[in-house]
Amino acid sequence: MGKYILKRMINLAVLFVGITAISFAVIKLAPGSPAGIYSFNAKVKTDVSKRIEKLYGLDKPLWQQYWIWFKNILKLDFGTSLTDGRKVIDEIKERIPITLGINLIVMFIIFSVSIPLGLWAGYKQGGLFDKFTTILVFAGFAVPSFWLALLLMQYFGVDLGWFPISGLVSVDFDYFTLPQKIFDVAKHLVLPVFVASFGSLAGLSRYSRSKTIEITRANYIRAALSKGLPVRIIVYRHILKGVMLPVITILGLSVPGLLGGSVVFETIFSIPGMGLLFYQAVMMRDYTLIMGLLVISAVLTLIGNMLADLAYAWADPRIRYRRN
Amino acid sequence: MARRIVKNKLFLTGMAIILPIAFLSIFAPLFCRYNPTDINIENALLAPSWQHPLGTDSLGRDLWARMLYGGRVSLSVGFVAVGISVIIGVLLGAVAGFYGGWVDEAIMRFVDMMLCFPSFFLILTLAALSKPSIYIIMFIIGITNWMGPARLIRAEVLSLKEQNFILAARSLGLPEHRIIIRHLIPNAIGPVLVNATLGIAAAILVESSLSFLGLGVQPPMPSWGNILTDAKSTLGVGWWITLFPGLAIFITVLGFNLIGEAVRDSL
Repeated sequence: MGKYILKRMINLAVLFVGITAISFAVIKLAPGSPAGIYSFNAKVKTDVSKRIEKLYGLDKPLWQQYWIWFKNILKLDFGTSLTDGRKVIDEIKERIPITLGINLIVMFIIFSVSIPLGLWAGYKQGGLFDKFTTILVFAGFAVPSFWLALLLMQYFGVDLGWFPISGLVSVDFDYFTLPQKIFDVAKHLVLPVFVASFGSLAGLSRYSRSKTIEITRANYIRAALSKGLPVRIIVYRHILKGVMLPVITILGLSVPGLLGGSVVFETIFSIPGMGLLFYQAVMMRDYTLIMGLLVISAVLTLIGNMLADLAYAWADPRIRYRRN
Repeated sequence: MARRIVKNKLFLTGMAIILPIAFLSIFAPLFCRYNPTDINIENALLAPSWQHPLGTDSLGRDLWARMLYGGRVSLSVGFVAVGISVIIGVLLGAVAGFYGGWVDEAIMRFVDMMLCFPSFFLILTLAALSKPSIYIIMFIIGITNWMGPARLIRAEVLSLKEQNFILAARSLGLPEHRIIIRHLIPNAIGPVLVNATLGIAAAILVESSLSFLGLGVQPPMPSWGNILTDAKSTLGVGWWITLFPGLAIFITVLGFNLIGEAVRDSL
């Protein structure tokens, strides 16, 4: 057990160093210099841009720059934003709860909708419901999320006026009572959460369907059927368990996909989360902020993978006992 | 395999979707009365009519023409980007699987590291730091999505390299690069084909999101994604600008997904 944990820790450390190296390389190998942002003028005098470069340590060799940056990261110091001068880590800290919160809701919805959907479709393979969900799944794979967002905004936001189409709270949010506040945020979240869940929903229901079909053919299900166990118990106890396990893992692995998707829906619905921050950083060519967000997003992925591993080990006795 | 796949219903449906779209896009000039970049403010935001079958956008440009030329962008980005990622992925994956040891360890660690990033974050960063043109977009999508093919081909190569025909090739004294390129890769390519077909669909979606966000194909060159940027600002005024480009992306992606599914079934 101890050896296993040690191996995992070394692996994580290697991955972390690699992540920072890639984030650094992506920015540094790209054409153009951050000093250009301050000048706002291509013809700025060379001694001015030299001074700026010196101020940010850009005149040092690349490996030294990387080492300094890396040491600062270990102290959670990602430098200051090039556009508004605030600490990068503070800006990210502000935005993370919003994006994580929304994505947790999204994951919960995906989990609680796709498994029953896949279970039902797979158990009655070839039936009417199966055909219907298959069509829905193919549609879900193919719909561009930003287009879906535009259509929903047009219909439910503009035409029917049911839901607000931008931001997280209304203008007069501060004057609301608590239940009003909760209702207000919920109303703002309906469309973004629907858009964010739609694509992954298709993938996971497809997956749970094929898993259900696979399990239904297994010998232990046949044994359960032949000893006369009611179908209801077989489906809810035996098949459900077998489907849920791998789905937990997949949800843990879906962190990078969900974060990438956040850029799209947060930008469209103007939700002030990490995705919108990343979009703004990219549009402003804010190098330090981009680097910080790249590292943080990759670390979130690592955490997601680890949680998935732990959940799997906790839920699957075969792994739990082997390790002890 | 080829004969089986032609009878596959999914494959036929997918082809029935993709071929007309490809035909219209490739021969776009033959099917358009207007130039896709000709601005005519007097005709701005016209609803679909005989004159303009899909209406006009906020600058009076003919939407039908823009859609056809936009199709060229989507399809070519899809194919070229996937081509790049397949070439990178197949070579790295085959080398990792064939040599094993520290080569394998190094390549697969690098794959793990790349997979930690949301690929859309990397794509946005690279697109913002370079001057986005259609070729750069192809390249960027290609170099951020080779990890899937690399993993698939490595797994195949690992099981193939112990088989007799590879041992035979080795004992005949064939050079290693020849064994990898002529014997291992062709036999391991099956799962990558499925991945590549689905990858075209994914690349088209990524390009359109990127162009929608303003970091992809730049106006005045039309792409299905950047037409939808215009749609956002005319929300509620011109439903046709929102409906048609999105529908085109949807149908094209659906077509490639169906073909991919059919290829998977036939393996």
